Amino acid sequence: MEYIGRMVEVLLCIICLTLAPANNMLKICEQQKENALQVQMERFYAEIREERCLTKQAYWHWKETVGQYGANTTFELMVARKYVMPAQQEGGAGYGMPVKIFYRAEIEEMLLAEGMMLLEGTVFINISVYGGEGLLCSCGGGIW
Amino acid sequence: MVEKFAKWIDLLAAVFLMFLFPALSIHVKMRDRLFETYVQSIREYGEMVQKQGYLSVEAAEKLLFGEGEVFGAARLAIWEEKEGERKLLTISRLMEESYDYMGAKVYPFSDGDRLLFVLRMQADGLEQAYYYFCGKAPVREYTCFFAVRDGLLERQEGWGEGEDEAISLYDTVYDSVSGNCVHAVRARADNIAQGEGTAEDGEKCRFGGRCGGRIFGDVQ
Repeated sequence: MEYIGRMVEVLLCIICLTLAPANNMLKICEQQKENALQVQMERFYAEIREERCLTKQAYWHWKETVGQYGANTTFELMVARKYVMPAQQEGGAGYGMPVKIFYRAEIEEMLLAEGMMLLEGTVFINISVYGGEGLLCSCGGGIW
Repeated sequence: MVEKFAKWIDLLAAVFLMFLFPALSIHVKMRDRLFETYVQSIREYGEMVQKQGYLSVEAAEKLLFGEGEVFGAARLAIWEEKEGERKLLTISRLMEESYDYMGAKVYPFSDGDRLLFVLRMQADGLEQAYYYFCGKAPVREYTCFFAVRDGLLERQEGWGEGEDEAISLYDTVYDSVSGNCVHAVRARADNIAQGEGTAEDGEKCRFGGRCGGRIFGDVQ
């Protein structure tokens, strides 16, 4: 029994000296990875804001950047644009709707078709990145 | 003899498991929390600089170069990205390129200038002991990115033109003591310095009073 106790003691010491610090180091590395992704996201938003348009190249570059963080990492991009509907559109799609929100799928279609999405007037953008455990980071704001 | 040795091992292991290791873990966790508070401060400060469009030299000196004043063991570096080039903000650059604005020395930015705030905290002695068997102790590092939204340089370029100029939301418009429009105060100070006016001359706010501050001519 004494020997078993001693073996357990030695094992616990080894775990405390190696595995626990290694676990901490891994957590720090994960946090730094998330931080790097957050910086990239903010750069992407700054680029959109500065140029007042979303280009196909910038969007695809951002998509590839997110892809490098693993299959579990995904993002959502929303663009909300003020809409002015002509008076005779009563009964038509979107009648009376003051804001049109474009989601990622629609934005991708638009970029494939036209190569860019101009952001004129009052526009709000939100970029959110999701990992395995939920929302990792988000940023966005108005462009006017 | 062997039994005595084994008892000493038992004692050492007990002391390590019950005291040393918990103490080291708590120390490491406290350093983590401390770093998180520094990160929050940096984010708030960066957001303020992003909106103001300038960096106060006094604040920068304390944050960047003050020993142990604001961030303790952590060190902050600010990189400025302008036209594709990245430069480190050093005290000599801050001093050379700063000027007086609203009574303080500031380093101005332009619209679209990009700022990278890099905060690093090296591991201290206890952490190095904690990570001894893992090789090298990790350095805690955090980077924030900000793009300046309302650069001071652009705001200043339009000064003196007046009526159609947009007023920055972040410009102080009132002298908090007298209630006078600070645009008028500034214009009067410039005129006096150039010998073109007196202290009694009523100076009009270059925004035609749209900023909301009182114009000297209206002061009773």
